[in-house]
Amino acid sequence: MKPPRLFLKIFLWFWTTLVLSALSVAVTFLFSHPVTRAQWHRHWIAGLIASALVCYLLARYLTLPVVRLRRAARELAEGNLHSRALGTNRRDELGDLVRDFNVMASRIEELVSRQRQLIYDISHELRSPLARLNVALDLARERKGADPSFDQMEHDLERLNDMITRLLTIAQLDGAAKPLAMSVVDLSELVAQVVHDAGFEARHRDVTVTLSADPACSVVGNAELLSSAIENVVRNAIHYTDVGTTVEVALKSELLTRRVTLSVRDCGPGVPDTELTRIFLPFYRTTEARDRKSGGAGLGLAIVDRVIRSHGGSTGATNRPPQGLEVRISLPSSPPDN
Amino acid sequence: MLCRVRELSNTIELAGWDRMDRVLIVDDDLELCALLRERLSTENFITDAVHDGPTGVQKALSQDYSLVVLDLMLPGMGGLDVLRAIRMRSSVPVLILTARGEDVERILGLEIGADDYLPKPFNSRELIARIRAILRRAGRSTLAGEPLAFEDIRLDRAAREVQVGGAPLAMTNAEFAVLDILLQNVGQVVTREQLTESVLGRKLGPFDRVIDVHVSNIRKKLASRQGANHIKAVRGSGYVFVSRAEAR
Repeated sequence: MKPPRLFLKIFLWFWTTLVLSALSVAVTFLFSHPVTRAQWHRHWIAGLIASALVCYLLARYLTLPVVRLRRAARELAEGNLHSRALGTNRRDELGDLVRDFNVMASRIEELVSRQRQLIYDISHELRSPLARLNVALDLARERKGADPSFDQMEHDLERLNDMITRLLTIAQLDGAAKPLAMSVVDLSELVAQVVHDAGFEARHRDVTVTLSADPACSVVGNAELLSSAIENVVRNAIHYTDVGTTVEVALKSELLTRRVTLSVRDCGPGVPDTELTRIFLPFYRTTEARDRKSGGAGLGLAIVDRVIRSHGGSTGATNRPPQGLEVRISLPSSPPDN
Repeated sequence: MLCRVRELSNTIELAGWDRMDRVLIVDDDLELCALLRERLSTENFITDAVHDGPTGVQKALSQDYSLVVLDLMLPGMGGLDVLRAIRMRSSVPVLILTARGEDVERILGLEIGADDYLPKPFNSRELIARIRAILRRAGRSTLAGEPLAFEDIRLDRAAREVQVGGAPLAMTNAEFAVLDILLQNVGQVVTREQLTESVLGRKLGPFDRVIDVHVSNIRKKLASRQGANHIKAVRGSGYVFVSRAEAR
């Protein structure tokens, strides 16, 4: 927490001015009415305290709207678009500023939500022609027989499908669609299921997936979304780990902090240290290892991050020596007996 | 008028090919329906397509069809309502088409009694494979076999009927098939892979929860009669049917 500099400045200016002017009045007064030393001291201290109080209130009156504006602006920057500044009742310029700020915030919220809605609607609408293309392609295959260009078309159709699905998930998490249905989810069981299901894919790459889980880790959330988020992280690890290595999945319940932590560690090339926070951004991919050849559109971890944040949790990634990436997910555990 | 003519021609066609399975498609996308009908006809299916909910319900209940392909995203009367209306009167197999990402709708659809689902956009070969698998199972379960009985639960394959304590209990085709397998293996774990392969006629996909919804439906139905949980989940592998003594 930084010291309230503006407040201190205003306070000291006013106080110094007030004290100096009081002193000059006192000096002229003293020449006409001599007082004892004790009386002089008493007046002096009383004056000092009274002026300090007045200046404190004045400085506070002037800086409070600024503090509130700052709080609202910061919340807005963190993504809480509903955030508005308090103190719209003032009739002065500061009140105007607060009101204008709130108008601006409403406008931003409207623009962003309209943009999200647009992404959602477009992705939604794109699915109908895609569905038709899929069937038409199959009919063409049926008539013209096998042709490598059909395979390429099918492959690209699948890619488009995947991207649209993920965009829709992101739109849903950003609040463009219906609100999420939340319930108590047994994370231990969910993770066991994900690890079990991921076995199909792991065997193809001769990768072993190990799981160590504390029993009865439960969180409040949307089971489908949590499952797809964890699936994304685990599949990502299986995808990037070196052939024949192990992916370690660990689920720990921290009683003290009332959080549940999931870590997924692979033995792959990892990610450059400077890029560690950026891998959670949409359409991110590092230049070398995670190139377009690997298939995805770089939306997987972005979805993970959004899912986890919408559950009040956090995500993080670190490189682990000697090699490999560890992705951590931390979620608030659900209160017991609920 | 044109529709009427087409329906008539379908009926004539049916008279000649009564071995062919009739499939009803309920989807509001007319062009997609046309493509699908064309594609399915190359696989020897007779298809009809309707584009709104009420007609869909009416046609599905007409007993002319061995399977219904139902899009859940219908305007007006939604797909879930159509499914509910069908399930109140009929156990005709229903394959639902759901939008990818709309997981809640998918689970709800399965809970209401759909047999299987396919996310849209789908691969039409996949659709054909699923239709075949469901029809194969539906055909097989009507074959006679001696009834299975365990405690007060009785499963009659010939009549395709489940009785609990002498009173019949309504089950969809898929639920019936799951219960059949579980009752054949009382006390033994049946894996989710096995259940998916024999009930849905396909491999268990990653993050595939169709079988789990069917099992949970059976559980709910049995529990409504008996208050006992006969089907236990074995974490990470499958399900086991246990006696009433073990269930409590």
